[in-house]
This record gives sequence, structure tokens and C-alpha cells, in this order.
Amino acid sequence: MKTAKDYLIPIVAFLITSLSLLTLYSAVYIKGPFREGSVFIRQLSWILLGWFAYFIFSRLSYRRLINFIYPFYFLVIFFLLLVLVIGMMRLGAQRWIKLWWFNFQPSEFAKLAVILVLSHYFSQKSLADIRLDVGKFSFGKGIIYPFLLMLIPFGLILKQPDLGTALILLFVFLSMAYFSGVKIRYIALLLAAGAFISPVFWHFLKNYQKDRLMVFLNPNFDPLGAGYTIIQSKIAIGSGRLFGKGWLAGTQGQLNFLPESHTDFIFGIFGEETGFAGALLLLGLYYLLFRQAFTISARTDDNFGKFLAFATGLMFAMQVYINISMTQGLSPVVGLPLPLMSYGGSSMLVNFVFLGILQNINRRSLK
Amino acid sequence: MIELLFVILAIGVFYLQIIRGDFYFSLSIRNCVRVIPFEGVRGKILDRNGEIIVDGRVSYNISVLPREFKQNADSLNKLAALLNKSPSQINKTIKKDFLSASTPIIVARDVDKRTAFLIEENKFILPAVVVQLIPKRNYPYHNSASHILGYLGRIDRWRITKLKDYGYKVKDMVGFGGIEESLEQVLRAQDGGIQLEVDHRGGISRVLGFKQSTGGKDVYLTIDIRIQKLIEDAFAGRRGAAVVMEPDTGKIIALASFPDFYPQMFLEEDNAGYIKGLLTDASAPLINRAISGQYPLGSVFKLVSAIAALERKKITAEKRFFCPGRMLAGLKEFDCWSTHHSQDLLEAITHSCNVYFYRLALLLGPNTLSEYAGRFGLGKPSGIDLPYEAQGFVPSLLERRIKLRNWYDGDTANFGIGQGDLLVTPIQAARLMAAIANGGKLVKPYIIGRIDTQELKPKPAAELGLDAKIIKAVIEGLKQVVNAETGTANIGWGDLRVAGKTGTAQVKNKLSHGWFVGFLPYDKPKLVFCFFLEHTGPSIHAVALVHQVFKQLREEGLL
Repeated sequence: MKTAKDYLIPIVAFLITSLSLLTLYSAVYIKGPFREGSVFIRQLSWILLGWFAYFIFSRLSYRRLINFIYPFYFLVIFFLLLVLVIGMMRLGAQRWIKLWWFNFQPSEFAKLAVILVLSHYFSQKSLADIRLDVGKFSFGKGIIYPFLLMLIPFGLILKQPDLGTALILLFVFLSMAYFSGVKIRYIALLLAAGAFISPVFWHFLKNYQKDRLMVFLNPNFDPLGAGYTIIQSKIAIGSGRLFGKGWLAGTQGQLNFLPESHTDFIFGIFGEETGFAGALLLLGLYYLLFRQAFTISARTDDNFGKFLAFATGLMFAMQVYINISMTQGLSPVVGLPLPLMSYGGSSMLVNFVFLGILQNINRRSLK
Repeated sequence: MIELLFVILAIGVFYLQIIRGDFYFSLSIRNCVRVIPFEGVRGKILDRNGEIIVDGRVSYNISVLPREFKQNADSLNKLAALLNKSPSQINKTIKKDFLSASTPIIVARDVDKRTAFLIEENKFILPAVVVQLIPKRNYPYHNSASHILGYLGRIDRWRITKLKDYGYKVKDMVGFGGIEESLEQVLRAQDGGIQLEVDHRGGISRVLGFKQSTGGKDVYLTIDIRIQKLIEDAFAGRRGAAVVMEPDTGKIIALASFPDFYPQMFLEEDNAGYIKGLLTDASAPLINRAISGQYPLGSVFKLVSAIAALERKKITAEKRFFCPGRMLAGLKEFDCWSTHHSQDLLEAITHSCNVYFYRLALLLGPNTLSEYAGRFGLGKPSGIDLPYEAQGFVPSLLERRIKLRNWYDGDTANFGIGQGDLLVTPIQAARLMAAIANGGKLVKPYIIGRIDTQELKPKPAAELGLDAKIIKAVIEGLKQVVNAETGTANIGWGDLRVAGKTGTAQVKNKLSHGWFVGFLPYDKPKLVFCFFLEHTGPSIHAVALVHQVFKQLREEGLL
């Protein structure tokens, strides 16, 4: 029997993407939202494409994906390398490859690849025993091997440099290791080693990334660069007060006071125009989404699906948390889109694929 | 756990929108945050006496975007009032300089800091007005030392890839060539700025953030700008280069190259023609000939041959050869520039006899000649602290073999007198002479004396391990070149006590290059010099130039 609850995921996704379109419309309407190549039109077409992907993945049994996991993983690594090579030939860093008419951003697909690979890895079973293998694994097999699976895309993404996405991968890896039952002392050992080498890591950060961390500690450190964005973003959100200034009535975003207002800082305009009420609504929608992912994870018998749903929910929650907290000045500006809200084709498409898989796991768990 | 994160976000939003909401709302309603950049001033370059050769300041240009500007009738009056001009004056400028609707037009140049800030603050009423910061550099000595300094220009693609991580942006000005390039990181100022809250009339109501700009550090060169200037004037437009250096330390006192250029021109707009002329001029005015120009050394190289022959005991200083005016080496006949009859080494140096040195070269063989050229620093960069130094070229048997070409006795003979494939930069020639003047030490030339307050020490010189007696014999020869009745550089030096060696390097189908390399005073060398004139005929022109320079320096009390 089907209930409305089974359609929670598409309903919530529909609501959030609608809010995204309204906000983007507001962000660009001065420049003309329907002009060719406008951000609004592009986002609209990506959302439609996203629904198409959602439709396919929610109907295709997610267990059939297993055969394609590793080829997909290596394809993503190939593209990550390609981005770096092209970046080196052009003017330094970049995160995307120009493909036909859009900018293809492999790091978004890397999230999908890593989550699929890790879910598969941690859900291995032997024929003789119904319990997972993970609990019996040695230090090397239990944590070092999956760590390396994560580390390769992690390193390549960090080199781009895209600190935000790289951190998400690390978080997802650690929580999945914990969730799947890898011995706690292995994880602790890995963390200790990480803490030990992290000062070395500081040297690999680009200057602007160091600056951003410094700005987080003290926004006055660089009032013209990253600090400016944070101050403007706080003004935009704060000025929304209880019910916001109303749709199309925001001034901070529209008068270009807030940089990147349609990508990473979209929450700034949204907060300005819809106020505390709107912000709570959006947070609530995200919460429902991730709650549903965890419910599905708990309900599913199949371990691969269980981990996949868990990681998907977690990744969404982490991204929402990091993005919104950075727009509020509560965490460093790391450059991470707000899922389903921010403008960005690759990110939108991948998020819909995630949701499609999630919905498919949901269907099968209910059978 | 995750719920906690959402609670944190909700609390954050609550704090911003409900508790602090009115504050932020009032900030936003007045659209009140302005950023006013403070450009730091680039460091100065001074000479060893603290005389300013280049200093920097920031100038502000005011431009308007014509289309947006016209749509806004108020802004014209407002801008005119701020600039202290009449509206019709501004309109006239816009009409005259109009290119396209979106190309900014400069309506006021070099306005004062206060006006620039006022315009920035009133940005909301003047949306189509742009304040541009133009870094200016003043060159009180005009073209002087232009190659040492380099120039300041808009950053190019290649440099921005290198410098992006250091915070350079696409429109930044960076140093090109010379000290401006090699000490870019030192001279560069750190930009700062101030973030203001302003009210709807543009008045400042609060400072939100402030970052001090810091000026670049000053650089003190080892050169004496008075000597530099005097030398440059003496060249009187002729092509060439000059190096004056302390023989014991490698400290550069003057380093000139001609033709030169006016670095200021790279900073001014509407100078595309001048700059293009510099870039395409066949005489390559942007090349620093003193360190990057590579030329045949001619007879100056005979000193190397002489030292090699004495060291390897192929001859003694008393050994006499007969010069009939020509000589057969291999199958080819080689000329001397005169007929010198029988002479010993000292006389051969004095007269710059080719036949004597052809013979020495044949006795030594090409390998020894290459080895000694290398020991005196030829064929590799001198290591001076200026960018784009050339390394010159020392021919060798091995290199010929690799290129599958033959080495003939004629090549050896030519090598011995500094002709053939040998190429030398003026700084290398000066360094070679310094090694003789200081008794066998190969110094590392340097031109940066002090950065801010940090004194730079000369790099240790490499000991060549030459026999003091041999050096003395060669110096005696150099003295004779200038002072003996028959010396090639004797044009009446009075009490200047110069020692040196001339060189006339023949070039196919063109006038030869003239060299005069030496030091003074010969009993206790204080300065080494190398003067080089490109395609101006025999070395006597270079000798006359040196004569004029040192006479004047003496008169002005600079020696």
C-alpha cells in the first residue's frame, strides 16, 4: 500500500527546487531572467534534467549499479586528473571542464562515486557468515584500504582546490566507517595519525584558503576579500527579520552587494527575502529529507542499500550545515553549494541521482 | 547528532534575523557598505648615497561609463561639483573621447586623494563613475639606469600564473626586467582598504573594517648615480655598454647600456606607439647589453691566452716570436694588423700582436684555451643579481665534435685572439679583468646593496690559484698598453694611471666592435671598467670614451 510518506522525497525535492527557482529569479530579474543563457533558464533546464535522472534511477534497481561502481569510480578519477591537467595548462586552478554548453564539474560526481564505492566495500559479506566482514577486518583491510579509495579523489579535489567538497568526502568516509562497524580503535588510530600530520597539511593550503580560515577567526583580517562576503551575507540574512522583505524586494543580493549570491551564498538572498519564517521552512524541508534518508536506511535489510541511504542523508545534511553556517559566519567560507538550491548543473544533476537512488532503496525496502 | 546541527543553524538564523534583525535591516536599507581601497606605495630604488633613482606614488583617475552616466541626470552635476569643474566641461570631454557606450572615459586625471575618496563614498548616487588607481613612478634621472631598473607594466599572462598565489590580480602592475622584476616581491606594496558604513547622503557613520596598506621596501643599489649619469652622457647616443666595478668585491658602481628607454612611458596611457617602437626596434633598446648582450671579445682575450701559456709553461715571458704581418695556420693565412717584427710577450700585449698569439694558441691547443676561458668565468653567467643574464659562449673541441663539424688549426689561432665563435658579455669581460686586477680572484658582481635596512654582503670570490708572478707580468703588459709610446691605448692619460687592454672584434660585413677593458689606478686597483661600443669601428673609439669619462670623473672629484 502506498502512502503519501513514500513520496516524501520527490515532494520535498520539488518544494526546495521551486524555492531555488524563485530565489534565482529574484537574484537575476534585474538583468532579465528569460534572456538567453541566463542563470534562471539554465537552472530550470538542469532541474528538468534532474527530474529525468531521478525518474530513471528511482526505477532502476540500485543493486544493478554494483556492476558499474568501479568503472564509474575510475572514470571520475580520470576526469579529476583531466581537470588538473587542463588547469595547469590554463591559468592555474579550475574545478570544471567545458563540455559543449555547460561546465562539467567532476568533483560533484566524485561524491557519488566515493559513496557508492564505500557502501559497496563496507557491505561485503562472506558466504559462510551472515554478519558483515567489516568487523573481522584487520587494520589494513578495515580502514586503510577504504581510506585509500577515498583519499585519491580527496587529494585530487583538494588540489583543485575545492576544500569544501574534499571535507565532505572525509566526513562521509569517517561516519560510514563508524556506522558499518569498523573497529573503533582503527578509526581512532587513523584520526590520531591525521591529527599528527595536519600541521604539515597547512603548508599545502593555498594562500587564499589560509586567508579564509584566518577570516573565519577574525572577519576584519581581510575586510575587502572573503571578509566582505561574510559581512554582506550576514547583513542580507539579518535584514530579513521575521517575515523577510518579500519576494523580489531584497536589496543586498539584487544590488550586487552580496557576491556569488546565486551560487554558494544563495541562502543570503533567500534569508533576506523570506526572513526567519522562510529560513525555518527551508531548514525544515532539509531536515525532512535527511530524516527520511535515515528512516530508509534503518528500514532496509540490504546492507549496500542501508549504507548508501545513510551516506546520502549524511552528505546532504553536512552540505546544508556547512553552507548555511558559512553564510551566517559560523564556519569558514569553503565554497560549497547548498544542495538543490544553489545554481550549478553538475551539483543539481548529482543530487537528483542521489535522490533517485534513495527513492529506489525506499521502494524495495517496502516490498 | 544531526538534529543538533540543524538546531545550531536555526539558532544562528534566529540570532541574525530576530535578535540582530533590526540592526542588519537598518544597515541594508541604507545600502551602506562601501569599500575604499588604499593602494600602498611601491618601494623606492636609490643609489648607494641614498639618491632617489625611482620613487612611487599613487594617482587617481576618474572615469565614467558614458551610457549609464547619461541615464542619470543628477550624477553629472554631482560629479562636476566634486571635481570642481563645470558640467559642460565634463560633457565636452565625454563627447570628445567617446569610443563606445561601455568604454570608460577619463574625465579627470591625477585628482587628489580626498576627491577620490569622496567619489567612492558617493558611489550610490554616482553609479557610472569609476575611480581608477594608477601607480605612478617618478624617474628624476629620466632614462638613466633604465636597464638596471626595468619598468612597471600591466601583469601578463605568464607572470600571473606564477604570481597568482602571492595575491596578484589580473590588472596589477608588476616589474618587468631589472630590479623591478627581480625584487618585485620586496618593492611591492600590500594593498589595504577600509570598509565603511555610510548613510544615505554618503557620509561616514561607522568603520566596519580596516586593513592598513603597507608600502613596499626601499632598495639601495651599489651604483653611484652621478657616475652612471656621467658615463651615459659620454656615450652620446652610441650603441654599447659599460660596466664599472670594484675589483675586490664585485660591487657594481655603474652599469650602462645603449640605446636606453624611458621607463615612465610604460605607465602612461596613449603610449602604445612608443612601446611598440621599443619592442620592434632592430637595435633592441630593452636589452641590457651589459649583461645580456653577447659579443666576440677580440684582443682582450689575449690576456687569457697569455696567462694560460705562462701557467702551462709553454713559454716564458721572455720568449720572442717574429711577426712578419701574417702567418699560416693550417691552410689559411692569418693577418696581423701591423708588422711587429721580433717581440717578447710584454711587447706583444702592448702592441696587441696577433701573430704572437696565434703562435701561443697553437702551442696551447683548443682544450687548454677553453679550460682557461672557463676558469675566468666566460661561457657561464657571472651571477649578477639582475634578471635575464646571458651566459656567452666558449667554443670547444667537444662541442664541435657533437655538432659533427671539424675543428681546424685556424680555429685554434682565431680562438687565441678572441675571434671565432667566442661570445662574451661586457660583465664577463669586466669580471675577467677584475680577476687580474685583484690578483686572481673571480668575484661575483652584485648591484643590490641594501634592502630596506638589511645590508647585503658581497658573495665570496672564487680563488683561481694563479701564480702571482704571472699576474704581475700581465699587469705590466696592461700598463704598457696605456702608457708605452707604442701602446694601443696611449692617447695621453696624464696622471690617471690606467691599465687596460683594447679589443677590436671583427664582424662580417659590418663595422667592428670596440672594447676597452681595464682598471685604475694600476698600482692599487680601485675600479675595473669595461667599455664596449657596438659596430663603431676600431677600439680607439672605446679608448677615447674611457679617457673622456675618467677625465671628467676626476674633474668632478668622483674618482
